[in-house]
Amino acid sequence: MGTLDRRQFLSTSLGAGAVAGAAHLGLPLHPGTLASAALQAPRSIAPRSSGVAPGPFVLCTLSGGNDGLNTVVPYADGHYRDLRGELAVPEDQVLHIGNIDGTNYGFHPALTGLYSLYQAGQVAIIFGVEYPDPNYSHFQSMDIWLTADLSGDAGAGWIGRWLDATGSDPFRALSVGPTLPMSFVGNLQQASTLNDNTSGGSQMPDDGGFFLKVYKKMMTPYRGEIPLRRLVGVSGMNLLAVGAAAEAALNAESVPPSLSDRGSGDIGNQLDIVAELIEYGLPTRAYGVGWGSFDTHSAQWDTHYGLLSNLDAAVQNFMGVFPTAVAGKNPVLMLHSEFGRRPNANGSAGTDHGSSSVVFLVGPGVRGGFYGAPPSLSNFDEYGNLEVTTDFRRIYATILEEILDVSAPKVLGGKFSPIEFLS
Amino acid sequence: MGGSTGFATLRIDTTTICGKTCIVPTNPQLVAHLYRRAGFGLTNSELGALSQQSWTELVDGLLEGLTARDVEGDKVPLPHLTWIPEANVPGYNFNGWQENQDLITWWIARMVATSTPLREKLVLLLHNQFPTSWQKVGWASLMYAQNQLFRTLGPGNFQTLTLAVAQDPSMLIWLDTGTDHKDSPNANFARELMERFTMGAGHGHYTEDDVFESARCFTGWQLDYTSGEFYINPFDHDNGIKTFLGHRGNFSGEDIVRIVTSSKVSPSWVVSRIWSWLAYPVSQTNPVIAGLEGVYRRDLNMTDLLAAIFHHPKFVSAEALNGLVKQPIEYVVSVLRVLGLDTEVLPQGTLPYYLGQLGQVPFSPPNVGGWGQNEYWLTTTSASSYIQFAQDLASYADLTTIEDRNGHPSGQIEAVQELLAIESFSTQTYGALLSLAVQMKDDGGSWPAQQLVTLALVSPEFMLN
Repeated sequence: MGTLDRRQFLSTSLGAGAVAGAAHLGLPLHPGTLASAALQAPRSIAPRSSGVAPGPFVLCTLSGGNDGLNTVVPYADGHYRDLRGELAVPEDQVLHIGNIDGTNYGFHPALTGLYSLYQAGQVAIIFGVEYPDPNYSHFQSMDIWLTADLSGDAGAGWIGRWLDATGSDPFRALSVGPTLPMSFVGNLQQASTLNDNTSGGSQMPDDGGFFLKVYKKMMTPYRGEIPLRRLVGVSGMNLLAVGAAAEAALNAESVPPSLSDRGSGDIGNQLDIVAELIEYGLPTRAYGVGWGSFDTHSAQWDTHYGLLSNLDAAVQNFMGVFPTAVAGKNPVLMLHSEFGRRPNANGSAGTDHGSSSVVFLVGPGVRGGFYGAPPSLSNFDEYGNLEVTTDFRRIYATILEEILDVSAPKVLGGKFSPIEFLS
Repeated sequence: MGGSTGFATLRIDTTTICGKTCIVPTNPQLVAHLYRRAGFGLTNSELGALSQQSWTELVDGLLEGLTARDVEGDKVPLPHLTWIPEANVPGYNFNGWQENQDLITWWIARMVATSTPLREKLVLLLHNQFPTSWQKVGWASLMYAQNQLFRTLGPGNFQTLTLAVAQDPSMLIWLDTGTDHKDSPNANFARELMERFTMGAGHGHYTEDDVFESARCFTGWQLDYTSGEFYINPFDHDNGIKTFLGHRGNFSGEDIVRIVTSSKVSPSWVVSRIWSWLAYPVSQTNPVIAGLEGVYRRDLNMTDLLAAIFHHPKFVSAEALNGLVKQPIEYVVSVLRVLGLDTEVLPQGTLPYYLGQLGQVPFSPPNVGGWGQNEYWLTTTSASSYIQFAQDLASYADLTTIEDRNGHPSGQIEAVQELLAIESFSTQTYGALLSLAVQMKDDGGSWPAQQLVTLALVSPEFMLN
């Protein structure tokens, strides 16, 4: 470790309650400007203050390219207002969270829930996250994020490769929704999926007495089977195992979150389902949820406000189930997008595809604060985009090593210095 | 592979495929394959009749349907749709959500009924080539208008089609072209035009500068919200000189569409997309694509390309025969067709509901990349949804031929196979069906037939396309 890009751990001038929260978690507190912290040699991962292992991991992919600059807003930076014009978040609406190198930062006004979690020391904000030489295609950029392979052609996702390396138990990873994101598809294994339509209710079809028994017989893989037929069979076999268990979990009365149907696909629904499964005690190590589109090329203000409000309510509701770290119920939620938006607004009151963005990690076992250097608003890359200051694979390295208990280089194909966002 | 029952097992023999001199009858397995890919599958009686034709006759018949009147499809009544000018009348109230639901059901019904299956299949492929979503467009009428463009212009010149789609109101809304201004162009449409619609994102196809330069050319392309029509606002169009893909000039948006569709790399992208949906998934650089490009490049004509694909030896290779699972839309249409069900018998909203459960709602692709293939569809959730859908639909079907053989397990399975036009069951599937039939041997009524049909509809044999 210790060779990669500039690294900052900045816990900032928070309100009194937040300071108490941070102190309680044993966070280093550096009031004021903290450029010096960035120059300190990175340390190895500190022992966990809570003594509770982090996990499960919950990956939330926000598709379309979330506007990082309007999510964690450098609101007092004059360049920001010049670049964003009418799209700039007004200073009196920003939820102030701290100061880095003399610049004040705050959450978008829709993020009230995340703001209180931040004040409780449970939100890590990582700035300037992307990969070298950013690609501005949704699909190529998302593929790179989901595969952790810079060519985007790996054909297997990063969680999928973890699945490949750890056996065949279909419970290890669950993704909510009818189709499976590339992150959860391996070369040999893939995650199971769950229905996110709570009005439909059931994860399992009616058995009709004998039906599922013969269904299993039909789906059981056999030697010499053609590959696609085998995949059909595996999806059926996994349904029988995982669907039944998930249905039991979701129907259990002891489980707290009240599933209110917000419509299929809604992030609130998806996270409610995950909360119920974790609370029930399913042995799943990695969950996947996803939502979008954050592709705000036009009339961004209202759309983005609505998206963030909905996301914020979902996250707050989810985290409300896990106020403190408990063994096996210490979820680490990661919120990421394939890229951010361009620093300057376009003529449609929107923003086009950009490069780096912010990543959030949220949970009772997260060490709240700022990580990574916020990109400059006066020096851009050759295409006028925000500089990349943090390689996204460093976040994956932490998750793989600390939550999924696997050698990160084995999955990532190289060494990336982890970021110490877990307490 | 397991053994098989029912149809005599025919060896897949590509020598039955020919240029102009043709062998009759055509191997029924290949006829079924052709119609699953070029359409939405065949019933058993349709299969019997078509096998009397040669491969060339079959392909020609499908191709003629690209421009012929769709006698049966045209009988499906179009639901009420509200057009932009109507909604401008004060006090006009419209239920956009319901119109979209009805439009989904309409298109599925059309795919089920069509006499010109290749054209309806092409419309579906083009929906995935230019994925546009009602979720943002908001007008079912505009989604319908785009769908009609695919139907009328799809079989012809791809450049003409691309330009029409680009200037169609649905696309102007979907990719924000209609909100563009000359002093700060919006790059959304310009980028996807190259990446998704015409060229592919391969290295060196275009640069970021090309994206921004072409975005300038589309400024002034607007949607008139009074008439609901496309127009070019000359005061909001950037008339400066642009540099694009090595060309320099005061290009218009039309010029850009012409340049990208006739670019050197475009044929490999378009051909690889169409081939991947009809034969098996390949990348833009696959050798089979290089072999087909020339035919398409000549006139950018879709009908020429389709003909070449169906006559390509690899179209009937083992790779192709085992190369695709049904997309949910194909699955739903196939089930309705083999069960002989009219969409009218289903409660309103049934089809949009199940398509949502299966993850593929027409007019609502997840994003401008469209839907994936194969693994993309094979999840535990969809496995469950397929069973629920099959169970539900089987309860509406006339299963007399299977019920008549209640108490005779092997006879019942034969009847299932005939009804669903499945060429052969694997030993494993046959064994499962048999144990289900034996278990229900003493049950009367429609229950055993429904259960058997459900199981067969979710068998790997039926799930593969």
